Amino acid sequence: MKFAILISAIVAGATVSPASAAHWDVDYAKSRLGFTVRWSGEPLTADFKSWKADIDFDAKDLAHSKVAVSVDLTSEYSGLPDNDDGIQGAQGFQVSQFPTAQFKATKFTPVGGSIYEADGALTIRGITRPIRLRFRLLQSGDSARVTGGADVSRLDFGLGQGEWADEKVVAHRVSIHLEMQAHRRP
Amino acid sequence: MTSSKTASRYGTVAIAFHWTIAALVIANICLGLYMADLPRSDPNKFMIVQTHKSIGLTVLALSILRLGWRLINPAPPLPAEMNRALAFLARAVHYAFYFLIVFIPLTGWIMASASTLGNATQYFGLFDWPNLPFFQGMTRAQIVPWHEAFEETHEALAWSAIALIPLHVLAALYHHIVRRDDVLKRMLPGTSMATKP
Repeated sequence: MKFAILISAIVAGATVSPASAAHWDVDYAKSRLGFTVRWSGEPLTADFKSWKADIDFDAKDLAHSKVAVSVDLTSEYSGLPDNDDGIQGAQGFQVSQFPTAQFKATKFTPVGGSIYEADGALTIRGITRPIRLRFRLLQSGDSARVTGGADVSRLDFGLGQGEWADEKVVAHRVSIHLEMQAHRRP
Repeated sequence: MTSSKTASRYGTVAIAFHWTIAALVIANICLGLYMADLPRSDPNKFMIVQTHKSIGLTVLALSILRLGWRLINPAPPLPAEMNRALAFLARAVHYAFYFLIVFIPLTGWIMASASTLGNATQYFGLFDWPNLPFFQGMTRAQIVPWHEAFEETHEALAWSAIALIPLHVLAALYHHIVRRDDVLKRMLPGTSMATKP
């Protein structure tokens, strides 16, 4: 009787326990996360110098793949101090209150070739919205190169309030872009 | 004739210009030094910058009016017994201030106009103050060097005001306390009765 319980527990454990996809370590020195937005009619590109990505991904096991990214918004850098003041200030990210942004994705869909779509949730300024990140994955052995991006509307996250809300000053559509080099953890 | 000067003292209008502009300039120097060190995470930074610009533009407008008034109403002469070198120095400092109260806010207005932000300067939240037109249509890469050049000029001029204000104050006190003449009194609003005709 005890033996039977033990056996069933092992069987149950084996079926319930999540098969985890391979874990990947990001090579941040060779990776870049940022965004581009038209500002005064001209594209302005900024990078985040500090971010962390927690990646479990297997192209053959997308069901168990998941990604969580945390971005230090105070590390935003456009090279234009006044614009960075506005981006990080009270009418922008408001980093004094919301210093990080999060992206979490658990649903990955292959859309042909080496292209995938990740449906996830982006949280900025305490506001969470669904976004779709489209990326190309080039994998060779244990190393992978990811390039991708997503377009979001900044107003969905309360970014650019007051006089910054005007589309003529700062466009509403913001393109997030990602270039990432990662290595599979042995 | 109370709005103009008498022979030995400044008139009411000149006195009002002097002290109003002095108070605004000192307030704006403090605000400028304060906001320069504010982290961008400070939630009030943008509002403080807009206030600094509004005060500066007020100084610019008042200073232009003041210079016009000064051209029509010459300043009273310095005491005749004053050392010629000191009198020259006093006049030089006065002219330096006339220059600074116009060119500090003007260079500030230029640097604000040569901005990569694209938003307007809001005059005390009442209306949008126009940008100077020279930089309109320029690309960001063309604007940035202008902004930096005028930012540096603005700061250098502000620092020269910071250096000259104590000199001016000490000189006024020297006249009042050491020389016991009426050079300070003739710029003080409260003492006007004694010498008024």
